[in-house]
Amino acid sequence: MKNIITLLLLLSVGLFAQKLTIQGSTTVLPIAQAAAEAYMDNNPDADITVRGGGSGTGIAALIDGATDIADASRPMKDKEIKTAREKGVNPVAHVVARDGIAVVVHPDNPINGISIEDIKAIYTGEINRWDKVGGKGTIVVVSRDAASGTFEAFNELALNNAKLTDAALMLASNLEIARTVAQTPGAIGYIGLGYLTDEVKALKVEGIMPSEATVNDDSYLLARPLFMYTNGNPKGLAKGFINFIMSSAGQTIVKEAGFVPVK
Amino acid sequence: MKYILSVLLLGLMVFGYAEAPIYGYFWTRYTFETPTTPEVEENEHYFSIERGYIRWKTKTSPVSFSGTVDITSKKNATASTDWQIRLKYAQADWTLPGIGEYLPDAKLMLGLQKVYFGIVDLWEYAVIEKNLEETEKKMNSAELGVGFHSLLPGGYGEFSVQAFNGNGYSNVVEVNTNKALVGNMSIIPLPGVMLKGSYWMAEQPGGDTVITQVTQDRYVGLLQFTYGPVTLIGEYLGTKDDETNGMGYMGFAELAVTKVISILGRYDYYDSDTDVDNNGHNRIIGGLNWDVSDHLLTQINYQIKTFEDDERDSEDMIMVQFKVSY
Repeated sequence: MKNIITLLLLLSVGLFAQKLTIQGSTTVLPIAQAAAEAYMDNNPDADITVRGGGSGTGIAALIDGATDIADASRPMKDKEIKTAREKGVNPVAHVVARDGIAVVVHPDNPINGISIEDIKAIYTGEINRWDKVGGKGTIVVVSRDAASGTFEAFNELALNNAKLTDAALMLASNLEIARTVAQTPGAIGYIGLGYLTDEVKALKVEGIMPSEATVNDDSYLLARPLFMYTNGNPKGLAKGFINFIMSSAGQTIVKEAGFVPVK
Repeated sequence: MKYILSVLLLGLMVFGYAEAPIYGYFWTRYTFETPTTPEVEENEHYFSIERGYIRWKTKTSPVSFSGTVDITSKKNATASTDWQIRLKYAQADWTLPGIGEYLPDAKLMLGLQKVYFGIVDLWEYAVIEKNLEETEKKMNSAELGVGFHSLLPGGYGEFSVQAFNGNGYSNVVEVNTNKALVGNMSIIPLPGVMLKGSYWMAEQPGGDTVITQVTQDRYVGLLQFTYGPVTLIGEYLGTKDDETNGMGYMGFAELAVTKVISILGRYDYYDSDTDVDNNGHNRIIGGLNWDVSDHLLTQINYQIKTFEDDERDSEDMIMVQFKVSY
């Protein structure tokens, strides 16, 4: 009898569990994963599945009804909004965090600031020696791989989508970039604000030092909001989850994941 | 004209090869049909590659290039000559600077391009049959010419104006005889509700000579409604060829039963000459779609065409199609 009751209880938990699917940006993925785990710890009935795939994939899934929340490291494009409306989907954006990208060099590098124009010239291969921007020696260009959301953001914000130099060293994570720049005197790289350490030197960009304050007041140029999109105003579990991320506990998770809280 | 197409293709290959992913799909179809002409008395059943698209698109800016090669087999293909390879699209899109705030994604389109008209540019073959305009051979889905296309701000719709040779994509060449002008606009006032109107006007060679020009008009009004798993479309098509007026309409319904299975129905009516009695025909289609995976869609359709003329027998067919995308 006990076995039957246990089985029935398990079945009822399965039947009545609230399900939520989240898909999209690999940049937002660590926030969504950590938040989902914390939310499920506090709400055992909640069953949250989190997937990556990129902002475009998540938005397409929201439009097709295949996900409840689309993570995106960029605003939806006009074409995507039009397609969504055509298919009866009313996308509503929730800014859950901000992403600041710090341009970093080796601590011994004498330069302290750089312009967007010079960043673009370095990353497209137009400038390959530090002498032209106030330093010394050959520049070693270090970048995130093209599949990453950070690369996508940097490419758009700093390079205006120009083609990266073939000489760039493409690395798979912020940590690898920080480590490589720290060990290579001529290197320049870029990392999320949360990954800054004393082992690398963050440069002022257009005279502004990257920080939580300068990212949130929009004065630092290499920054962007991170979104979670829902179809209409969120309801049920989606509403609970979005509210959790916007709470102080959720924003602590945002900070721990290396991003800038919005509250 | 071949020179222009060659230049466009060369542009695609030279400027875009590094960042021009190749993608597309193949449709393998099995058809079982009853006789379609009095001369053919036996039922027919056959496999065919109804469509093989090889597509590529560059990520260059502000001008991008895209192309599509269309490969099809004829019914009961047995020889190499039974295969047809055509260029379906060869298009340069020039995104216009400075007006994106007012007209999002505004672009000039040059070359062999998609025709924005009625349901032609929206039709994604939810049922296997072509859309009403193409089924009745009143429109082509691609034409050679120039066009302007823009979205409306806020995702409220889109509009386009295009000028074409008007010969479709199988025979793109014409010499100063039948240029076509096309206007198209869709408005989405609410999510899930779309209103669309399109107008095509052209001069076509009359009879056996290219000297006599006759009017060729097409116009469409369309309403699409989508709510959750349900999609409904209603379309009215008007045609005028010289002094002959035609009209037709299409009703389409789709219900997504699960995330991977949907059932579909469609009803067409078209009368090529409204001044002649018993001249129209109907088409009823019922179908089921199964998304086996992200890259394989299986479709099963039953289709019957009946005629107002009592002396003509109905034509029906069963089709099973596997659409593989990559």
